[in-house]
This record gives sequence, C-alpha cells and structure tokens, in this order.
Amino acid sequence: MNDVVTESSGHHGDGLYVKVWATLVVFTAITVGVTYLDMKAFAVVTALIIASIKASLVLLYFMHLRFESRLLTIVLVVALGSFTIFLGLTFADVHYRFY
Amino acid sequence: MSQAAAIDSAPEPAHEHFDPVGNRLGMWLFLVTELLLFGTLFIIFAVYFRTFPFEYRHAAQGLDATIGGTNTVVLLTSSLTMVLAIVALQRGDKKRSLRLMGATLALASLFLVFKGFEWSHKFHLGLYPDSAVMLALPRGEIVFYGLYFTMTGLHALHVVIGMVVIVFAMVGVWRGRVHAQRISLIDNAGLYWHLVDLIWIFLFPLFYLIGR
Repeated sequence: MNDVVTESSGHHGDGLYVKVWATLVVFTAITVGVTYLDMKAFAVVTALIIASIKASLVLLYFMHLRFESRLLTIVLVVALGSFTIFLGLTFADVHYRFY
Repeated sequence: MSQAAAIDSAPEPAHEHFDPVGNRLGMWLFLVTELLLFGTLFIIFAVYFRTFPFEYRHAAQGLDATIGGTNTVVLLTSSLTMVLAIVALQRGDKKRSLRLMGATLALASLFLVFKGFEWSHKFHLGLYPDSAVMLALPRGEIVFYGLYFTMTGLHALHVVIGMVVIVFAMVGVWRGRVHAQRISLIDNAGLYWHLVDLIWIFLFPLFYLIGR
C-alpha cells in the first residue's frame, strides 16, 4: 500500500474537471454520431466501449479514484469481477438451455 | 463507578475522532452494492436482448434519442457542478460551494422534468406496464418496455435520493458543520451523485440508441 490520501479529491484546479466534462460531452456526441454509420453487429459493442471510456473518466476524475489509496480500487475491481462472473455464468446457462 | 468518573472527566474531548478515509471506504462499499443492483438489471437486459434482438430494436425506435441525449448532457454537467462545489469548499469558498450545489439541484430537476415529459408521453400512448396497449405488443417489446420503465424508474428514484443527500450537504455547509477539514458529507454526496451519472452513461446508449 502506498501513500494514503487523507484529503479527498486531491487539490486540482477547476480546469481539470472542466476538461474532463468537455471530453465526456464529446464522447456523448460521438456515441450518437456513430449510430448514423451502418455498423450492424458492431453498433452495440461500439456503444459499450464508448460508455466504458466515459465511465472510466467519471470514476478516475469525478470520483477521484486516481488519487485514492489502492484499497478503493481493489473494492471496485472485486465488485466488477463478481459482476463479470455473474454475467458470464448467466450467459453460459442461457446458451446451453435455449440454443 | 470508574467508568462514570472517566466520562465525567472528559466533558469535551480534546480530539474529535474523524476518519475521512474510513468514511469514503464505507461509501464505496455502499456504491458497490448499488452497482450490483443495477448490474443485475443490465444482465437481464442483455440476456433478453440476445433472445429478442429485432423486437428490442423496433421498440427502441419508440424512444426519443434527442431527449435521452439532452438528459445525458444535463447529468454530465450536474456532475461537473457537484465536483466543482467540493473543490470550492476545499478552498474554503463556502458561498461558491453552495451556489454550485444549487446549480446541481437545478440540473437534476431539469433531468426529472425531461424524464417526466418522456414518461407522460408514453402513458398518453397507453404504454405503461400491464396496460392493454403494452400487452398487445410482441413479447420482446413487452420485455424491452418493462425494463425501460423499471431501469429508468429506479434510476430516477436515485436522482431524487441524490438530490435529498445534496440538500443535506448544503445544510451542513451552510451551518458550518461541513467544511474543508470535515469534507465527508459533501464528498460522499458527490460520490453518490456521480454514481447516478455513471448508471445513466450505460442506460442512454442501451435504451435510446440501439434502434437507430
């Protein structure tokens, strides 16, 4: 465990957060924009990739995970890992039952 | 006897216990349970999307992507004003912090107004869970609209709860109980608010954009 951050949010200027917000708005425009391309099966995958990028920005900067002790990241990774297992097992179950 | 003496001898604690890291850890553990709550609904959405791809796409065309997109930007902006409110308080600028939280509440209300228009339009068309119009739809479309009302409804409930928590944070800042050295209430209100934003980031493309 490296240095434990006692002050939250770090001490960043407003500029960083405004930049993150602008990036998020641009990605929102992109996710709407790509629906005009005919991507068929890749459309949903593309939408999910863009949403994941946006989610990472919110987690890292707005929820200041980037500046936190590692413990909180581990908590999140364990949760997302469990979620992935649930997702995978559910899909495997549905697949072998109905297809 | 000795306990009573100990309590009597310490009428005013010299050092008030305050653990901001512990407070954040507690909040994150709660947020993780919220992620799994919505995560389960996303899994249901995904499984039926696989079963009814055409019905989902057709039903999704009935949703207004312009309102959905506008609401995305509204929520993202409210997340910005919330994080700036925390930064302002850390600098000791109480007034600016309160103003920015006020802006967050205004944007949250705007989100709910748009959501309200959207839902009332659907109700007007006779589309609501268990309605005759909805039950006459193909099965996959019933599932899609059922999940649409469940997930955006549960999300809207979180918006309302988030607004209440922000009001508590504002009262704390106003009364001086929450300040740069005791940041947890506003900090955790912010974390909750960003979670609400985070969930919407996934709801928006999955409901509003798949039909395009």
